Amino acid sequence: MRPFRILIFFAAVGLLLLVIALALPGEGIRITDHLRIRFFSVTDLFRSDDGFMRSGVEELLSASSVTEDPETDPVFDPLVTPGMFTTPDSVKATAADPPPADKIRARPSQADGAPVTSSAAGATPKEESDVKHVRPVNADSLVHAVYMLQFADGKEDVLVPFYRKLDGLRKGTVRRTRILHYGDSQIENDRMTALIRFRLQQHFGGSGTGLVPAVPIYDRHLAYRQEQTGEWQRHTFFGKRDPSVSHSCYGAMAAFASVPGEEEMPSLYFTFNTGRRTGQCDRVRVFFHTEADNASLVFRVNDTIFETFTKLPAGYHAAELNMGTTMKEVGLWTGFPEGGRIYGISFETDSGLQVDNIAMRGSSGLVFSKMDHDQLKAMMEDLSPGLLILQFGGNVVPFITDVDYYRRAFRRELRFIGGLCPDVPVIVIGPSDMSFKENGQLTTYPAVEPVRDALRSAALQSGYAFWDLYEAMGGFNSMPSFVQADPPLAKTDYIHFTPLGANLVAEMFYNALMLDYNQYFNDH
Amino acid sequence: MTQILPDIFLFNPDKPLLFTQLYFWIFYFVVLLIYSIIYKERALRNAFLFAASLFFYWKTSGLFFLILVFSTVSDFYLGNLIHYSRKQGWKKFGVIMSVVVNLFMLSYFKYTYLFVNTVNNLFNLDLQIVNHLALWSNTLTGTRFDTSVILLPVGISFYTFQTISYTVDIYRGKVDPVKHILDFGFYVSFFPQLVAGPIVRAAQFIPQLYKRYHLTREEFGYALFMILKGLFKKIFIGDYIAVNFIDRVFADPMGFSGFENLMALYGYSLQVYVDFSGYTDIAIGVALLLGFRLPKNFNAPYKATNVGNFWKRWHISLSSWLRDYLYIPLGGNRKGRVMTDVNLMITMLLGGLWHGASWHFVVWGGINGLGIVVYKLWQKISPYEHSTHWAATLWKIFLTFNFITFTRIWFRSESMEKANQLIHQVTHSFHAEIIPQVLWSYRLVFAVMALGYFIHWVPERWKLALLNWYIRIPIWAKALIAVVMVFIIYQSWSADLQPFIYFQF
Repeated sequence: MRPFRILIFFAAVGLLLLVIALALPGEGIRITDHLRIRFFSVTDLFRSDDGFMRSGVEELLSASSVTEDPETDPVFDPLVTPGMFTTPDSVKATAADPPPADKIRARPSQADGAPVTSSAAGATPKEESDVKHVRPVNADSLVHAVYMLQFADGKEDVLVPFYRKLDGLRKGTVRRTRILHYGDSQIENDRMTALIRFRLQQHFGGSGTGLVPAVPIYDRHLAYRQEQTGEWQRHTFFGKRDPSVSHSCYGAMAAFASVPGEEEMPSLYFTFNTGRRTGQCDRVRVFFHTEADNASLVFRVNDTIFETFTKLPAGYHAAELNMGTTMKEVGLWTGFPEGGRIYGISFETDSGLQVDNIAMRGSSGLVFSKMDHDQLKAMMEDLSPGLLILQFGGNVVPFITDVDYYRRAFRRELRFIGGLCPDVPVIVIGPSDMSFKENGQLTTYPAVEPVRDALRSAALQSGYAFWDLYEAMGGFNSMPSFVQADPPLAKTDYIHFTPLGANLVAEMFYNALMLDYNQYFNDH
Repeated sequence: MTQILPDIFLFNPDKPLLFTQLYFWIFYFVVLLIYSIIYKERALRNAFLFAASLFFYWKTSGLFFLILVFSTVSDFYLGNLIHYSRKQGWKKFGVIMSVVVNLFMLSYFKYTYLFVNTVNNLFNLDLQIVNHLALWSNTLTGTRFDTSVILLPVGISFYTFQTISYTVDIYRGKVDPVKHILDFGFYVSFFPQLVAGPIVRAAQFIPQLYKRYHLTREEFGYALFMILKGLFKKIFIGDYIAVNFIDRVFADPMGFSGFENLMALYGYSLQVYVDFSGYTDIAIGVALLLGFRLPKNFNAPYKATNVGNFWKRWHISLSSWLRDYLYIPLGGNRKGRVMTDVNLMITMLLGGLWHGASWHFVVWGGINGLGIVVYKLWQKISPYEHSTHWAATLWKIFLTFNFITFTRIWFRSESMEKANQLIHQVTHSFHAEIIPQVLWSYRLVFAVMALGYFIHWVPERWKLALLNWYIRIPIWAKALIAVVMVFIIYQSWSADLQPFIYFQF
């Protein structure tokens, strides 16, 4: 067999493939709804731009020193003392950047309430001028990338009540406050929240992991180890709801753990990893419901009974144990005659800031108004949050057909939350970029930008703040760069960040929040 | 269209010349075109293939092709020094220099980060890495390379071992040095095996440099079959299950149930095999069409009946290299039972380290070593060791496969922490109640996995029958089959992403 014949063979195969590529339609031939025969087109051969914004990801990475674990980051945090930021005007922006930050707070077109229409025709890349961000290069001030928070016109001070509390924590005039970070599976396993919590607690005090479910979703928590006795069961208001649960009292975590009414008191035992900030707590709070009167709850520390609550009437309660010093372990024994529910347990400190991670797998964020209002309000009052963060949208992107419905429904949720927690500001975080394959090429889901617009619109129309995660990470078709990065910043479902990627974007959000806080600080 | 020329000739790190990229096959077609004109002139043939291989390496690794050139020049002259020196001292000096230079290059590019991070962690230091090569280049020639980063040249683990085998074989008198440096350069850099092996021994390959081109019709059919088989394994099976399931689980074990983690582990056993063996199959086929025979690198490894047997079937060129150039020089089995086991463990630990610059690879190598040591003890007392009953054979294969899969926890996991997370999920959070949901939701992935394992475990005679059939059919039928296979493979490559499935557990 001579090489020339081999060459002819390859040429013949190539020619046949070319003929098929020309003959078959570019979008392939559909066999069924789920089955399509595809073939590459001639233009695929000469496609030179894969659409990945790799350089954008490299720029983000080079500007950050995050690792997978925020507690061990060799981090440069510019907010060493408040006021270290100069005003945004003095931050030296790159040539391609838009006007300074104080001129770009509002987006009047969205804030006017014009409905956002969904587009199924494929999103187009954003023009550079539409991207509102500051990319400072001055190493003396802010070195990390910042994508600004957005506010409605005249509502730029919506976060001030929270900033006052932060100030109060520093000065000692405010004892404690907390942030409830709600989200979907994107923030599961403390993703994003962990970095926000650690950085904020470093400045404003506080430690401990905050609210956790009584029945763990993940058996392995970095902050503590858990053992339990008794037949506990987890029930969630989001996802697959248990039909045997006839009520809608699920608490602020939209999930509860059912406690059996057993003679042997079912218990939970926690051993803390005090080497981590999240494992250092001196105060434990339990939010629970007992079905019948004469319930009891016992706290034990080092096998010594420290706090006992007895003869509790049926209904909702919040009990706490305040040790005054960091606990190494704590046990909780429940004596609920006819069973009950634990809505959540909070490991916190007597003073300082708590940041709670409340992930609702599969949720679109439209759960709050459907839960029992009185119970939710009672628990929210006990928690007394200073700020709520709602991070949703990812679960509606692949399937949504009526984006305006989602905008209206989300706005209703925000109105409900406003009634639940008056004077508590809210920051809405939109979805990340999400990819799917179109004719073999990765591209952004068409609904990402409309859903982002809907959430932003709902937030600004409600007088709250919005942070655009999609634009912050690079915008259109930026997700493939996150997946292909080394180490990967997102998983190969092209939707969820890896722990490292989550910390990278969390740092951007943290910087945006601190930049805004710093502006308040300078103005006051 | 104006992008075509720069795309062809300029280095683009996002477009390396991998066998699974269309650009490689265009490159190969051009190589065949020129080769078909000059192949009869032996020296010209070798020089051309050397140049083509350097171009291939330039497209894959940019300026690192200069490292390849350096390795070629240094080992060529060291090989001559070893062979032509009359004094034993110079011979020894030559071989030691070759080993030191090659291992230094490998260590510098591959293990610097591991070394520095380990020292920093152990002694609480903050040593920073400086890429001195980049620094010298910037200082001497005005380039602007990043001096804070050391990138790993593609294939360096392979060609450094290859050149070490050359100089050591000359020292041992097994092979004469190559006469011309271009011939030697061709041996070192031959593009089919440059990126991912097999590691070709000088004694096997160098005689081929001096032979005329010859390829029988049967070998032609065999080469095509290997190429198509390799592409199918790598893209249709390996890439699909990796992107749509395995990579996601290993990136975040805690986000998945124990059952999903376990399935990802078994999936990875298949993926690493089809990936690696598929790539080697293509390399063998591509080389054979140019008239060069590369050694077989895999021999149905998951049919192995014990761990020792596995390592004679898996990455054969590496395990035989480690045996001949590490295990035997350490003493092999000639210094008593204890030293045999010690030598074995050292070989397996270093073999693990060769695979990747991270301690969990060393752990993987060590567990494999322990497996062999334990098996050597077990075989003395095993009641069925010599049984040829099908049930005993099946049991041995089952046990060996599961042990090897178990070791992959440390091979694949992104860190020791994630390896521990995987084990934790499997042992503490298995959630058997969601197995039917998982199997149904990821049915395409599991179907492809089942297909992969089925193909692997079918009797060898079935595969041989298929191969013989392909060899015998007329050339036009071969071409048609090739087109159909590319078509099928493209369906997998362009298939929709498996969406993330929410399992409440």
